[in-house]
Parts: sequence; C-alpha cells; structure tokens
Amino acid sequence: MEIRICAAAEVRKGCSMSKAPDLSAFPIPRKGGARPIDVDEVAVSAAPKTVEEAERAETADPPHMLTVVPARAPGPAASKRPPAQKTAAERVPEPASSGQTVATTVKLDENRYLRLAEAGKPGPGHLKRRTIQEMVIEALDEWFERRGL
Amino acid sequence: MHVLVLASQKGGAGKTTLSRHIAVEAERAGEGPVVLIDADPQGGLASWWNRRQAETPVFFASRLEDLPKHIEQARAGGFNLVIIDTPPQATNLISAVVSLADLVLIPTRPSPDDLDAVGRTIDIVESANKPMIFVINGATKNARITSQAAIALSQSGTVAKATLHHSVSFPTSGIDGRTVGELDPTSNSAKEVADLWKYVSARLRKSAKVAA
Repeated sequence: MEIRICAAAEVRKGCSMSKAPDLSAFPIPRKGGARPIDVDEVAVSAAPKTVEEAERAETADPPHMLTVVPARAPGPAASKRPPAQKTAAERVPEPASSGQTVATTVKLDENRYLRLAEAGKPGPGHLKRRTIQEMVIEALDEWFERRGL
Repeated sequence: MHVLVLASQKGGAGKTTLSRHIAVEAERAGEGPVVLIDADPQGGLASWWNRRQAETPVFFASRLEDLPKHIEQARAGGFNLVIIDTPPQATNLISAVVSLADLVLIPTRPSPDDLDAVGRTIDIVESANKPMIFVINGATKNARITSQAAIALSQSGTVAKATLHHSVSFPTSGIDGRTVGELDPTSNSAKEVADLWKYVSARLRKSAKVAA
C-alpha cells in the first residue's frame, strides 16, 4: 500500500488524505477566472433596507477621531495661546537683519493695503506690485508721519 | 475554523497585501488549508491569485449573499482559515462582511490621514461587537511617528506586536503571485510576516476560546 503525506499544494491534485477537503464541492475558479464579489450585488445587498435604517445611518454619531501628539512637541493649547502683552520697553524695535527687514516691510505693506481696502481704495485685488525699496520708503514715510517729524 | 476579515475604510492601508501574505504564511506554518475570498470589487486579491502558479491558498468565487453559506461549507469541508479582503469606503459592505468575522485585522499606515480614517472602521467593528487588532503597515524604520501611531491606536484597541516595515519586496513579490516569504524566506519582511501570523494565530485561538 502506498502511503503519501499530503502537502498543502497537493490539495487540489487529488491527494487522498482524509483531512484534506474535497474541493470539487467548493466555488473555486480556474486560474485566471477568479473574480471579486460583484459590484451590483454589493450595491443592492448593502443598501439600507428600510427608511429607518437610512435615517439612522445619516444621524449616526461622528466617528472616532484619533490624534497623534508628538512626544516632546508642545501641546496645541500652548501653541494657540495668545501672545502676552508686551511692555513699552519690549516694544522697542531690535536691530533687524536683512531677512527681518524684508518680513517687516511686507507686513507693513499688507497692513497698509488692508487699511486702504477698508477705506474703499483700492478694491480688493488691486494691490500694486512694488519693489521692496518703495515699500520701505512708504513705511518710513508713515513712521515719520505718525511721529510728526 | 476561523474567519479573519481585513478591513479599513482607508484605501492603500495594506488589506489586500496582508490578506495574501497571511494566507500563504498560515499554510507555510502548517495551519492551513486556507480559503481566500475577495470582497473588494477592485479585485486585487483575485488578480494576485490568478497570477499565482500554486493552487493554494484556494480562492472562493463567492457572492455576498452566499458568503455565510460558503463559510459554513469551508468549515464543514475541513478548512482551517477563511480570509476575507474588504474594500475601502463601502461601509455597508464592510459591515456585512465584518458581521461574519471571528477577528478583524485593521491595517493602518503610520500617518495622520490613516489615523483620521481608522475611526470609521473602529465604529463598524465595534457595532458588530467583534474583536479587532490593528497592524501598523508600511512603517519606516526608526521613525518616531510609528510609535506615536501605535500609542494613538492603542487607545482604541490592541495593536499587533509585529509591525510591517515598508519594503519594495511586497509589491515585487506580487508580480507573479507570490509573497515576500516565497521570494526570499530570509528577508526581514518575511520574518515580519511570520511574526504577524504568529500573533494573529494566537489571537484567533484566544477569540475562539472566548466565543466558546
């Protein structure tokens, strides 16, 4: 009598080991013929069956939300805290590097544009393209004007 | 027999890749025979099986309404594990398949987008009252966000000890219907898959004991 040990790969190939399933009874396709569950059947079967179910699905609680909090990063509360009021001494401008100067100038220009936009001139979208030198001169003019110089 | 469902509402989390790798690894570990069922209309698992030379794990061409019947057939026919891959997005379909599961495996990439999306999957599994495990997939070695993702996920459930790291061998092995273990049994990815199966296998046995 021939004794065989049935490997998993031999299951389909007629191994007679009693524990191996008889595959002829199962919906196993031929190679190349395997297909997933049909989409139409899915749409029909998976749709809510009653109006109540549909309403329940719409009014369901919002899903869980997980958040990743970096181990050493400051928490969101800390980052969103409004800056503390600065004293008069702190408001004195520090000597700025060229990068800071450009950033400050752009900010000044933005403020000026917003003021003009609020006053109705020019309308939104009419911000004039100017050079940094022009913006610096305007900002200095405004600064001198404010101090009555 | 156990029914393992891989679910995640987020596309690209690794459901199909994990389905086929776990199936092949279970058989390699002597815990087969395994049945694969592709409930994802995109058909990634079916295509992989069509490209595969080996006949096992076997593939069932099932329909949603026949799923419970086919699972019972598999149980009666001597199969040890049924693995069902599910689609992203389709909440109702995922719910229907999850209701048949003994254990739900939720692959999640360690990214804020995946963590944001995983909440919906958790809701589906919890409403079906099924046990679930998160698996971190596609992780980058020594990246802090991997441990952060594990911490975030552990607030909602069990996270598998085994993490699958990103490796080009996962897609490469799929070209001709194989797995990373079949491509190179000594690779890190093959070891990670083996570790994952050990963990999932233990959890399946545990959930079967609880159910009994």
